[in-house]
Amino acid sequence: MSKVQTVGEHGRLDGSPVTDARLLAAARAGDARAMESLYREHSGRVYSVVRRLVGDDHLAEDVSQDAWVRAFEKLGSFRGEAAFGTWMHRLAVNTALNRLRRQGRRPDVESAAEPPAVPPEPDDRILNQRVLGQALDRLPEGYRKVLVMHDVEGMTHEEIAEQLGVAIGTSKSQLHKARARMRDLLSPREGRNEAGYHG
Amino acid sequence: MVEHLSRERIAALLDGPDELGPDRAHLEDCEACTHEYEQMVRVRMALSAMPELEPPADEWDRVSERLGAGVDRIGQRRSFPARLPMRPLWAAAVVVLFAAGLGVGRQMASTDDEPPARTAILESPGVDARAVGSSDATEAYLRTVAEIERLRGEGASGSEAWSDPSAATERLMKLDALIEASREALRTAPTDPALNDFLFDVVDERASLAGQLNRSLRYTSVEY
Repeated sequence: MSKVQTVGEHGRLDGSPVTDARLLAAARAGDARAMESLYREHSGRVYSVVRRLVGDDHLAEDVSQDAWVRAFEKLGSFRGEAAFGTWMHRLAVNTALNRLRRQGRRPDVESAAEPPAVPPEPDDRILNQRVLGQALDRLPEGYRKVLVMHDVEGMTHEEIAEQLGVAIGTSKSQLHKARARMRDLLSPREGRNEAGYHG
Repeated sequence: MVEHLSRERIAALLDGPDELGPDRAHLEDCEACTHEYEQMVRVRMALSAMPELEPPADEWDRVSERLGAGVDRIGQRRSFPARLPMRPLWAAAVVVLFAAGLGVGRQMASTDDEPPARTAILESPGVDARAVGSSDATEAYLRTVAEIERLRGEGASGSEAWSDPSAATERLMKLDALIEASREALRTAPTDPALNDFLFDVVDERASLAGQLNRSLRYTSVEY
């Protein structure tokens, strides 16, 4: 006889992590603990993408909350075609991008904040996650969005183009400029710029 | 004097061989550009490996507060019939859908030998909400709801009620009939929130019952 998994109370199938589908069913039925379990399962990824897209702690806290409130309010419209995590990630990205749009486009210039405090060795500092995060925050908003969506979140240019409402070529072009600017921020002393240099 | 590739051009090379083009030869011959390319690859890898950030510790509390009067209230199970009056615009359509679709469950509950009337929805795909509301449909719907509540009441009476595997299996089949009927109804009204909520409730109940049944069977097999 094949083993049938039994359902424990909120969160476990015989000791294994319960599926999102199971939690989702309970959450939709109004189970508060199931809702919190869904939140705990996905809150790190949601906050991460939101924080890196908006480039600001306080704004990220607000946007991340917005995303979760919208998610639970819209839970009835989630039809289960995709995994809940995928749906939630997309909703979080949308919420962040919409907030940035509503705030008005900031000039595509680097943040006036202090440059990241970089260690002395260029090859070491690029692997320092804190410095990477600081450099991301200093990127112009348009660059940061594409770089985060592609290089951090692994989205395709097709997905990015759809989310941002731009052509795929524009997404690629922005990405290449963003990477170059990121290198400039992390290693400004080598004198190479977008036009190349002679050596 | 050697003209090196710009960082933007090198950044494009990260996207694969298709992007290399005529720059491949330069990249292979130029030590400085190769070094720059390698550094950019390291940045790319570091970006893709960025760890998850910790959300604020009080985020869940804030989310639950913003959801209304707190998740505790949201967490209270809502009675299905009590929700209907709050959605007058589609209430009439729900009446017809349940009378036709979920009536299957009532029939299955009382006359298991009769075939389910699942064609009722399929034969009337163009339901007009404005044209419904007949007393027969309403009465059938209310009977269906009463039957659902009765079944739920049995489920809430404790695990002892299902210590008999055959009784639990029979109940499971009735729940399956309700699930099937709900899905049939959703083909006509896929975004109907009441139908969706009801389906999830029944699926939830079925999962719980299946768990009880499984435990019962497992313990039985251990004893023997």
